Amino acid sequence: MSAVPSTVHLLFFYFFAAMTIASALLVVLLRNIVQSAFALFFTLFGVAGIYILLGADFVGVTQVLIYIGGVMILIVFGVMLTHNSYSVDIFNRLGTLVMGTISAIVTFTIIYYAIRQVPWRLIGYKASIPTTRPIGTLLMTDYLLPFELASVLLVLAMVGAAYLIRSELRVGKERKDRDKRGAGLERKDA
Amino acid sequence: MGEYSFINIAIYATIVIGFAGLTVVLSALVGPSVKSKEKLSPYECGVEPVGNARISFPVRYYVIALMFLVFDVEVVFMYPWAIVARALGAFGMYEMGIFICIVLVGFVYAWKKGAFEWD
Repeated sequence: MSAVPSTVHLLFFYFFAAMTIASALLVVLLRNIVQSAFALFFTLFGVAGIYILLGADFVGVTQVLIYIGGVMILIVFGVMLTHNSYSVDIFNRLGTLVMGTISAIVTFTIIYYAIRQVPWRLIGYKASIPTTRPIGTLLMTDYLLPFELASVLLVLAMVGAAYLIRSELRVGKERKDRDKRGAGLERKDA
Repeated sequence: MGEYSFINIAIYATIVIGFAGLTVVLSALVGPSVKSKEKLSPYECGVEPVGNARISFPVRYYVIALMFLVFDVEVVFMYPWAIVARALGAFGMYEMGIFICIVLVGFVYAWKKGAFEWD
């Protein structure tokens, strides 16, 4: 265990940090919302790399699996499903810019003071040890209730998904009923 | 193996990205470039492209994506469980069984509500 990170470690850190910051800037600055969404891919990937450099291998892989593999797809789908979202000019109001600047400054001030307040303990840079096994043991013993509650959260997400498209489902059902009544002869054996 | 076991993945990722990038660059440099109207039109499995691709898609795609995300998260919970499952024995099986059953309740609800039907 050494107090200073190795050169390789530093190189990887700067690579992922630069990737995260540059692509996050692109997400904000690009005017095309589809390009912003694709830039977000690189932001999330850079964050995953930083997680792994910090020794949180399970969190890093989860980041790739869920945020890049799932949430990003959801965001791209959201763009695809929204009417006219391709041609929306994001910087069309000055008020948005002013409010954005104020909220950004407030957020960063809070984060800055939070970082300064926490008594950080330096444990040195050691070879990363796999964390999946301890996480599994803790989930199945000490944190069993949160683990089972997580499944309730997943159920809520699915119920919410069904609720989201309720009007679509109703229209589809009515159409189906109408088809059944209207064209009974042709659809009898279908 | 050195300081990080993740160095293997880093090497692998470098080779993959390098190979993909090299292929794109080489084909752009070496390959002949013929630009005709047909060639520049989007490829749709041989079918003539009709209309604009920038339409709003049916909301049902979103539900399928949400369902995928739910089961994606479920699988992530299974990884740490799978590693210690043998040591936990039957107790671990019951724990994961309860977890999966609760998630299945939501799945059956969405199914009965017709979230997976395309008409």
